Amino acid sequence: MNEHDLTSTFAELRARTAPPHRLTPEALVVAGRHARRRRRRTVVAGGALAALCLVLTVAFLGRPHGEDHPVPVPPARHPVSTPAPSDVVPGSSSPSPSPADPVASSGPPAASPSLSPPDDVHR
Amino acid sequence: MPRHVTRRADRDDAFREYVAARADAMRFTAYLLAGDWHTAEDIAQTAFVKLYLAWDRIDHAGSVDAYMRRIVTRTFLNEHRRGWRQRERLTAEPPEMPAAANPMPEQRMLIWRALSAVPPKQRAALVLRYWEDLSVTQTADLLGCSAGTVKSQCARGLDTLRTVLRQQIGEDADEILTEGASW
Repeated sequence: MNEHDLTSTFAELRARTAPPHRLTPEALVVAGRHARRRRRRTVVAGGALAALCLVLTVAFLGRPHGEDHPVPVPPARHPVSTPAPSDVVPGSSSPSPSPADPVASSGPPAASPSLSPPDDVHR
Repeated sequence: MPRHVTRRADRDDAFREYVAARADAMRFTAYLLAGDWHTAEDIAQTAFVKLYLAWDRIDHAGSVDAYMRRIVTRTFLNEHRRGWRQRERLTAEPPEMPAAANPMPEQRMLIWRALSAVPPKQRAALVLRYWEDLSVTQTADLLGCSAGTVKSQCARGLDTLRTVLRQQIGEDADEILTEGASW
């Protein structure tokens, strides 16, 4: 068998009666228009989705992030055995607490070399 | 009437003319590829819809057939790759039987049956080369492979056909096939 036999077989098949087909020009034009409309809708929907993603991404990256983050809190320390605020004599000459006084200050104690570390106090 | 509506009507008319002239031939090519008329009709319909979508883009100076052949072949190969064609499908009508009025010679019927055992890409190469009468270069361009690959696909396809025919016919296959060479 060679390629000529194959060609003859194909020609023989072509000469035989084929079943009727439903490929009418009108049906194919209708199907083509339908496919075109579907494709357009897909393109529009895809474009809208891409634009939405872009807007959301830009909004997420561009938002101000200074205020949103909490102020970092320094690690907690052991309580220092200093007089409680109630022991302070009211009407003393210095109502404003000294910056060196860790208990009286409202903020976290500053890391200062004048302060003795809590471990030394207990020792 | 707006200009774009006229243009669309012209385009649709040209497309209708092409379908009327070439639907039968394209469906037959699809039949040679797929092996049955139902699948061939599905492939041809898909290919014509794709052609409609691309109608404005293609160069109409004689290349529509080449473009259509390409779509038919690729649709066939893609659908084979997907594998859903192998599944049984329910249809309203019974499957068509071969016309008994002009039966094919037995040897050719055997070749046609054996062709269904040839892998899709080899089968596509055989159909394009020996039915559509395309050159090796044209076939390679259409299948998206090299000329060497087309040659080897054709040679392998013919080998597969011979092997299947030997299995079908039996011991005296070579003798019958040799006689067949002069059909």
